[in-house]
Amino acid sequence: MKSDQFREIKELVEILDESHLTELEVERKDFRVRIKRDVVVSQGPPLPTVTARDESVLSKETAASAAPESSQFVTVTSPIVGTFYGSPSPETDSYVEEGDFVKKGQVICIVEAMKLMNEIESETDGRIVKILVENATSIEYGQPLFLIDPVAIPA
Amino acid sequence: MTPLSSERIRLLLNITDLAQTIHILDETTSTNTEAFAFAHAGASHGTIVLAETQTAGRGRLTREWFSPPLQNIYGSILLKNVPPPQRISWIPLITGLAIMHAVEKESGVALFLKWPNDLLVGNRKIGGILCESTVQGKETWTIVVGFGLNVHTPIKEFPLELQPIATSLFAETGHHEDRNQLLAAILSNFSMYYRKLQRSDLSTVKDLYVSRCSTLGHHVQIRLANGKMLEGIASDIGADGALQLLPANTHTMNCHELIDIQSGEVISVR
Repeated sequence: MKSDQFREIKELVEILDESHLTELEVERKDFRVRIKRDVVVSQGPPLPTVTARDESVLSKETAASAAPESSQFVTVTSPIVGTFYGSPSPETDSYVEEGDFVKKGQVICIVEAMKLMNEIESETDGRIVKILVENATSIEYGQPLFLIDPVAIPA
Repeated sequence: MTPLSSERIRLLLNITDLAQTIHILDETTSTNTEAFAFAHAGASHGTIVLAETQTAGRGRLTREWFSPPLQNIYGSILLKNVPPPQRISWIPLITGLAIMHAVEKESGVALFLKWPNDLLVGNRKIGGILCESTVQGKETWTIVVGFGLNVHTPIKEFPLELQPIATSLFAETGHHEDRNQLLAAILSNFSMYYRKLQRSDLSTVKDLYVSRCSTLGHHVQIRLANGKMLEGIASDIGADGALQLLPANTHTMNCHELIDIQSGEVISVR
């Protein structure tokens, strides 16, 4: 998911939040998102849920990034506004590729801001299901970066 | 030329939040790597690691840092009590400011501070800063502030490829400054600015930085991480330390909006 897509989804959630609508669908050239909420009677304010579909992403996986609590996947998010790097330098291999198994504490990317190089560690053992951002792109605070399947076991 | 001495540095220091422990190593791979190893072994916030030489001194993006023995300053500060995320990215900037003020006070050499933290005399690099952190679960930060300052090395002793672009305090003044005194001044300044960051006294930090950043007010070109080039006037510094650029081609755009640059190389100033 690109950062502008992420921002747009956030805005759509806010629009839905402030409206009486129960469902919202937006289609762009390369992605489509549908946001709906369950209409709950007498149980406090209804919470929006998001399902998004990217060309290259299974809808199940992307939905996990927006609603990690209901998913089997762990979402690694950015702790800071900055630039995402998948490798230590342009000449070297990526820290991880999709499908790789990682250990808790293993460095999976760098987020740089003002030349502070932040090595982001995996919070769990598991398999990298999806890398959600492109190398050398700007990212926001809290933006999902990786989906990790914590129950996957190396073959 | 006096050797590094933790007793002497501590004698000159008047701070309590940093430098309770100062490790001085004759040789190490890199003081940043060493500081992370100390952190891993339980070292406390404010631990300082200094070395007389580095066998694998490094800059950003795995570039090398020239580290001949007994000549210069190679140091790292370990930070575990860190400010909230939106202020963490100020750390490289205050490090530049801390070194700049220390150098000017101790040696009288005037430095240029190029955003975010390049330390220059004219067009020559006199110091370098490498801030690295590890983040686990968004909350647990271990930050290592690494810095190098060329003190005694004459220009002709730098590697050939660095001779046109590097300098040292000795090359500038002909005097041999005491590295311990420089270190005490750097650490005192850093501690002062860092406490301001932790107390969220951001406006003082920003005013200090803005008043000394040589990039501001100039027409600059910036190479972004993805290789894209931007051009415009370096106008201000954002709340997170970003360089705010007024794009040169605003007449083709609808507004005069500033662009926040968090990552990029300022490649020309005129």
